[in-house]
Amino acid sequence: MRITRKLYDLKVAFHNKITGGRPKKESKPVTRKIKEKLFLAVLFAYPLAQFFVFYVVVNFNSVMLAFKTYNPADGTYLFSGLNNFKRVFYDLSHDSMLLSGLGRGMIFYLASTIIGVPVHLMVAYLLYKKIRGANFFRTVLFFPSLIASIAMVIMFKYFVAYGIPEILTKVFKVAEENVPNFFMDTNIAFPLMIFYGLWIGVASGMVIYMSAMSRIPDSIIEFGQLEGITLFREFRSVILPMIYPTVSLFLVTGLAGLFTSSGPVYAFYGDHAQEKLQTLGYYLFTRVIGENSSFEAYPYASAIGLLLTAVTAPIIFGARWLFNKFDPDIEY
Amino acid sequence: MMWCAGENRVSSVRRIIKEYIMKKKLTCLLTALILAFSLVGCAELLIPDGGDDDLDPNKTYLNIAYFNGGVVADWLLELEKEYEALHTDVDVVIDTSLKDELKNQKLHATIAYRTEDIFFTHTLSYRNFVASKYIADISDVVNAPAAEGEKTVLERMNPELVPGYTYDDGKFYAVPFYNNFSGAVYDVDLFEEKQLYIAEGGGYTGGLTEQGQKRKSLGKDGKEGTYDDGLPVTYEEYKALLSYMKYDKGVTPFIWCNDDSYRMGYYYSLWAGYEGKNNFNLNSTGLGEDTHLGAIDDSNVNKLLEQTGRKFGYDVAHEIISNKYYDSESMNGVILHTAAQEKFLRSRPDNKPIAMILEGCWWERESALVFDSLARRDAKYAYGKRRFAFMTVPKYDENASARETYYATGSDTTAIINANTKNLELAKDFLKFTLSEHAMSVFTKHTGMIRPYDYKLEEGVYDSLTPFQRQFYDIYNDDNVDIAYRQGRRTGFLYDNSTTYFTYDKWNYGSKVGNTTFNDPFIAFMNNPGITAEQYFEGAKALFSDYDERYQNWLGQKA
Repeated sequence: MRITRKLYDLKVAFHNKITGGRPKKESKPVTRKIKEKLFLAVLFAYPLAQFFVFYVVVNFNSVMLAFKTYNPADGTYLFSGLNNFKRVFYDLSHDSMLLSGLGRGMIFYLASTIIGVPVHLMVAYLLYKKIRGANFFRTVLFFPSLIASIAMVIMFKYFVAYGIPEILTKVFKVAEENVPNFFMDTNIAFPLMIFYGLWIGVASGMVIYMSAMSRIPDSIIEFGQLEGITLFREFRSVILPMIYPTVSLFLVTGLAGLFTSSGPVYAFYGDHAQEKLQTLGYYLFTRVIGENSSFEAYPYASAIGLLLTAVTAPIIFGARWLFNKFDPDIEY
Repeated sequence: MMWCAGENRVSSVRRIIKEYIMKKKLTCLLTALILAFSLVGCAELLIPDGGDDDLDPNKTYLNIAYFNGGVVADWLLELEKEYEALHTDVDVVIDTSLKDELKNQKLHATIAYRTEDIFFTHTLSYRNFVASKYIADISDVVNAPAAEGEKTVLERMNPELVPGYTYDDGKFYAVPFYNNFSGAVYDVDLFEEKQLYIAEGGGYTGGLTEQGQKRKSLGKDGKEGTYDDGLPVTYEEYKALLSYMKYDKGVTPFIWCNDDSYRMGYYYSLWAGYEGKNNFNLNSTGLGEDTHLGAIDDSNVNKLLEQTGRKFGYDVAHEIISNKYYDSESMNGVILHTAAQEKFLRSRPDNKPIAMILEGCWWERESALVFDSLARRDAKYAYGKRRFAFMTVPKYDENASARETYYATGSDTTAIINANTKNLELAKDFLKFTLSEHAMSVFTKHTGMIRPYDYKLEEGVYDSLTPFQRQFYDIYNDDNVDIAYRQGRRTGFLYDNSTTYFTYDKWNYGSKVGNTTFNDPFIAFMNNPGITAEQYFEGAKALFSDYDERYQNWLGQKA
């Protein structure tokens, strides 16, 4: 008690020393408003500057690049009109890689939507219902997300490349030469990439959907239970309509990657993915970063990006309109 | 947001902002902390790297970034000491921990902010760096002797590389760093032990005549006592040897790592070995005379797809894959180059022999720790005690180049000076110091590799090299051997300005069989056992079948 009092006295003495014992001046309302505005300006200056430099300027530069060509003689980009777009259209009609890469990107997107979303919803629902062992499954499913993604990829790679062949040869007595090359045989490697993407994606889907489900008022669930509703009916008629905004948001924003999804291909193969594994997203990424990148590829990549945006943007707006139309519009 | 009773939306927002302002001190503090964290990330760029030493105000610091790859930095550390002994007011600080940071695009993106004065890099888009004014003009270093009594650096530089390093303005902004051969390296001890050498008069031998074995055949050069003795001369002999290894001797012929550049390095070595330097280099320059295909220029560069050397490479790849002449890990997509080196080195002591590894010249020195580990088991496995050598390229047919040709990478590994250096003259002086004949001898002593300049090894250095390194040195200095360098494409040429059509790998080993495009013959043959080497070879032409149309478009754009 005495110590507290002494500390208080010390604080008062310190305050008087600083202020000279004068009472605190009330600032004028106008000055206060200016100060507030100044403070807000300072507060938002950094994020706004970041947004301006790293979003507005970068995207503006990307758009402009699509109309330029790199001049290796002096390291500058020269205006070349629509040449890059002409080349993109020519390559799309002549180079099977671009089109097949586009297709593979769509497969990644569709897999994550058609398989991924229902699986994530079901997992989240079962954990929300606290089925037996829910905590265990939650930990197991979430655990991969706690580990650095590249470490997870390495572990997965070594398990599949060394562990599974050991199991196949030692346990199932498969001849060594008949053990598949999981990462080099594209017929196996591509589905493997899809599987990995889905598996790793469970955690994020689980968290988002579970948090949406947890907001549903208990009274509604209890009412359903009193009425003898089944789990499936509860999921279909109660849970799904009530988390509809979250699901639709997930689907609409996911559409941005419709053509450029690349799954975990770069994490597994770096710059050396086989052509039959490459998606357009991977292709564009490796043309601006890494061993296969070059300055001359920037404008070409920009042109492809711009064209894809032109196609994707209406699709996204259309999808949003469609989802909004079917929104049950439940408020709680 | 929590709305209070009686509040409308606007007043509620105001209230929240006011509450927020009340916490402004805390917010300011947090913001400052976040900023500080993000600045910490830039610390490496902002704060000069002084290593562990305390900065001495009486000294000038010269910072060097060294690419931490297979070419060890011991040579540079020795030169650092020598230089500091001569210049007591200079402290040379060498950072040998950098790797990806010094790769082409990343270095280009950061060099303007980096504090290092000199870079010994991996590969570099020389023209881009010069065009961006990121590297300093070092013509005065190149045009002067590096040490008293020597020829100028330019006169000593490998003439093959001089045009590539001479910029449009006639100046030099970089100098070549090192030479490397890519290809198949075989275990000499294993060949003797398992008697895998081709014997004079037929059959196989260990070549150990004191043990009463047959003598080795004379090899491609027809001379006794040279490095190709006992090695296959024709492709038929080569195929027979691979089969003999696997089925008669229980030896796995090859191992390589997951990085495709290693197996494709072997493909290049076969291609260059067949075509010879001139024909092979046409694939980079696109301009000149092919001894079999005639004149090549922009209008008909696609004729080069008919080079038989390509077919030879595909044929060997098919032979290896279809007969499973490789260690299973080579195609698991995971094995790292160091793991492949270790497996190769341990294979003989562990009695699971592997005859050859697809590697570069640095591999033996890079594996020093594995040698040390094996030496603890038996001293005969120590570094320098075991013998390895490059496998020569057999003759595919009677049109194969008469001269032995090795495929060399490393022509684009360079030493450069940062244009932003504050110690330009000092940096030039140190760079010059590393270009002297003495410095290069030190380089070879430590790395076992060669710098592409004319220099003599100092006394005792040649004898200190391992047998593998000595063979490399002998081959490099053999007047009867040609070295085909991997070169950048000629500027201004159609495929110099291409992004998808003429990508390096696609042009060199891409193919289209049926409707499927491939960019790696080894994997294509593994995943599609029905595809033949001939189909793959023809498929390369199919992949570029619209060349004429592209060429016309390109002419139109130029006009």
